[in-house]
Amino acid sequence: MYKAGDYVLMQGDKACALGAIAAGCRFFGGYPITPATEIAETMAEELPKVGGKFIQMEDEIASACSIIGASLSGAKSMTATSGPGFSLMQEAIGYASMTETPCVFVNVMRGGPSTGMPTRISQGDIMQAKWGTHGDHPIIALYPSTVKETYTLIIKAFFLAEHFRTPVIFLMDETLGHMRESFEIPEIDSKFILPRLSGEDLEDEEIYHPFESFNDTTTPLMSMGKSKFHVSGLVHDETGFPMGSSSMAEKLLRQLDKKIRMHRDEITTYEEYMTEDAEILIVAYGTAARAAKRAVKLARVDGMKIGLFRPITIWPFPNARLVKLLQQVDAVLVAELNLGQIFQEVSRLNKQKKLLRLLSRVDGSLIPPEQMLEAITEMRIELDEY
Amino acid sequence: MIPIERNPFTIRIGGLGGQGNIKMGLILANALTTDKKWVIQTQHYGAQVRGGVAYSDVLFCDDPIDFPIAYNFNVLYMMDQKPLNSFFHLLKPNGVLICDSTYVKQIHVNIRRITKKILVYPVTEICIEKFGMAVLANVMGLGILQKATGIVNLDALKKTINEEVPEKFVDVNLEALEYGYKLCDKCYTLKEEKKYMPINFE
Repeated sequence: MYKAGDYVLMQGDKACALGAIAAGCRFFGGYPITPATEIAETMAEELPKVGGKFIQMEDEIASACSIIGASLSGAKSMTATSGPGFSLMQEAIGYASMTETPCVFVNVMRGGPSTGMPTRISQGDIMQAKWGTHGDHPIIALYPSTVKETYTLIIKAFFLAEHFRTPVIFLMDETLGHMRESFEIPEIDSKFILPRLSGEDLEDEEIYHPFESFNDTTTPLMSMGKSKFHVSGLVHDETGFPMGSSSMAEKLLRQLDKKIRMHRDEITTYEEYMTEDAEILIVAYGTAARAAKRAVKLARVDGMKIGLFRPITIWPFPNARLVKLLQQVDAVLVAELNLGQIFQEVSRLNKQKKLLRLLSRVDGSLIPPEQMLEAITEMRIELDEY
Repeated sequence: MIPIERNPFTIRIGGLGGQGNIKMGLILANALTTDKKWVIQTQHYGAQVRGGVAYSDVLFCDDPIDFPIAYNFNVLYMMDQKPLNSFFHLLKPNGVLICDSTYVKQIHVNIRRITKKILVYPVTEICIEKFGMAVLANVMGLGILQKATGIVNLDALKKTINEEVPEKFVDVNLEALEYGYKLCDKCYTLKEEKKYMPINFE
């Protein structure tokens, strides 16, 4: 195993798996699928060394259910898949959401829909990550853009999952998953590794109500065998038993929504690059943001005032900051590898009707920095006439 | 004007599936990491079978690399005719082209318009003759690549081979590396790209 300070060359998928182990993940249930297979491979090799369990399940539905079971019985758990598998996992994500079970679903995005392009990059599952499962439900989705960030962000994914007791979707893409990049293994901040409650914290076994909420925060989960409680995907009260009352249903759904909505500011993270004096803002995320960063540098050499806004937390979307930036800039370019999923989100926030353009590409390749620069230059010319 | 990171040096190793070109890229990338460079290694990922074109790209730089994909290359190492025919136009002007003449029988005349720095050695033939194994061709190629371009430390390569190669084959691999190093008599220095030409907007 690697230790902090080592300068290594690592594949994105492997960094995801090793980061998860460093975050305390001790159960992985998965089914191999390109381009997420390497995560399962690494987990199969490394988990037994630290006393964890790896199971290759019969399919993605079982994988998703197995990690919910594992999490409820005390192990931090994760699964990894790609588009088609992620579609199969949707019902279980809803179940994890309703039963407030902390678990991490990694989705290494590939070209879709259906079997699509298994070996090509895409960012097509952005909306699916939010609205894939039925019913109103809160979700947290994170999306790194470098291999190093994959390693650190997956640790944060586990932290958010445990802290808010919610499934966390960890988005990656094919290029990020298969690419090898050198980086220095970072020191892990121990505050991001949350242990489960031990039985000693509990005065009386009978009074542990796992679904009780105080001031929009959830009760932390108990470790295995320390307490008994009932878990159900039906609308339930604080003890976990199903309830038929409609007032209870309203309370529960609002409470589920609130626990994320009221803590938006704590959860959302983003990267800004040269936005202080930017006239045109590029909004890009994941691997596409790497090209955008290069394009910003090239444009700055040309004397164009360009900035980059990269949401790291895709859901909840960092609205507050983007609204402020939208007031400051003259135009916004959204660059993404789908037909405009985040573009919709940005246009919803564009109340002042600033010039807004979409640069999208869905042929399974990245947008080169030069193509982005071209789009910016066109916008700049358009802006003079706008 | 703001300082801008240099463009990374780029290398493409191309061959047919089974020739070990991806392993070669991996060893090179690992060795460059030992040299504390910023390294990105990508590979052609598809339904590759023995006999299909496969390649592995290595990008490295002292500065951070923003964009992980390269569209043209400082060095091409071609193990077969097919990848050479498909990739030669991606070579940067005056870049270095190294070919394994066991399988590369014809070098297109247009290549000579791109560069004069063409090195041709019958690597696989020598491997079979000297060591009785064709699989060492990629490691011998690394030796040639090291000598011809000097991009990576020879000791770093040896260290990586020690880690990456199964134990009982380490010695013979190191011999092949040394042999390749001695085989090559040319030494080119890779030039950094010209500064980006701005089109002053202000």
